[in-house]
Amino acid sequence: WLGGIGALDFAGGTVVHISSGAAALAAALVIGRRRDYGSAVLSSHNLPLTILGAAILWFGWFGFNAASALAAHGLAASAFVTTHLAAAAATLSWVGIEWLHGGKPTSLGAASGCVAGLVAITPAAGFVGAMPAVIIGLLAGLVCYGAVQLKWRAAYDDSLDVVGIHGAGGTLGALATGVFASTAVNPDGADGLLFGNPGQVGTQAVAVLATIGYAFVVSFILLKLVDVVVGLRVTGEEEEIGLDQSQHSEAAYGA
Amino acid sequence: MKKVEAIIRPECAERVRAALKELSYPGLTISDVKGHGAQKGMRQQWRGKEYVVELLPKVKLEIVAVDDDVPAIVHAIVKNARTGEEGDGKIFVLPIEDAVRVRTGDEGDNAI
Repeated sequence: WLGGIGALDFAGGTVVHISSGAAALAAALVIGRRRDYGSAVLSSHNLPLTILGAAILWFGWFGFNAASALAAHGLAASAFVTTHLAAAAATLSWVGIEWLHGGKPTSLGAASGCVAGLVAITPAAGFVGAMPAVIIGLLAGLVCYGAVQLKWRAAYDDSLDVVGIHGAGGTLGALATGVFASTAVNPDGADGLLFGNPGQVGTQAVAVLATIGYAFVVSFILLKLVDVVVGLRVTGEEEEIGLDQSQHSEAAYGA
Repeated sequence: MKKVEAIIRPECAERVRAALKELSYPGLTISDVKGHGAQKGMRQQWRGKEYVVELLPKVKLEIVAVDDDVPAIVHAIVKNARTGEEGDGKIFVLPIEDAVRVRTGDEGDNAI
């Protein structure tokens, strides 16, 4: 339906990231905060693994974005470049704003920025040029960092920041596609605001709102349904013991 | 026989061990511990949110020695673990009732 109204989404930025962000918000609201929210120590469980994960994501995202060109030719290469530039720019801008706002730059911030950039460029990868990719990346770091700070204010528990990074990043990317898309890059796409077609931004906005609305509402309903039928959340004791033991009788780090 | 139990900063552990090597002491057990005294805790950052860690990593040294050797051991630890900041640690001296050497079965002061 979204394709039919002319919305541009190269590699699933709208259908994957925005919908996952909206669904995650629904899940966070239905499931609720963890029991020790507010008093638990916030440090990362395993920062080296997180950084390794971000590196794997960056590498794999080339498959996600560039391969959405569906052939190994010029458009795929273009999407490859925009993906890389956006990820790098977003890493820098997230670390930068974290340094200014939080006091010190962190490696978790760099990893988060990189993912934010990858998310934001996803809908735009095969439609925009290189400089717009850098701009999108820089904005993604700033916007997603801001979204995470809003999360702290709103006090919902989203430990991996799906809403802040995927939801906000995907939205930014979708709207930015409406601004920066160029048929010079991809003749099968459309032109965006900066290339003489202001209507594209509107189309993108419709796509964003429709996705958020649909994903949030349906997820919310389904989650509530599951909760009523079998119960979604584990008991307090199970949460305290830890899900490894209580759900799987498995010790992740040795006995 | 007395036991010297010293809780000190992890970064001072090597210096203290080097100093102890100059003295006569029978042996040493080191463990990684967490805790705090008057030290207020560390501020850390996670995705833009600050939080305080109150249980701080420290190192505990346990040395059992004959009474005469204890003052020198305590002095060596104090000298090498002191930074002047809060969180330098504490040393406790406890009486020991008996000691046994596992290899030979020696008891008392002979075991140390």
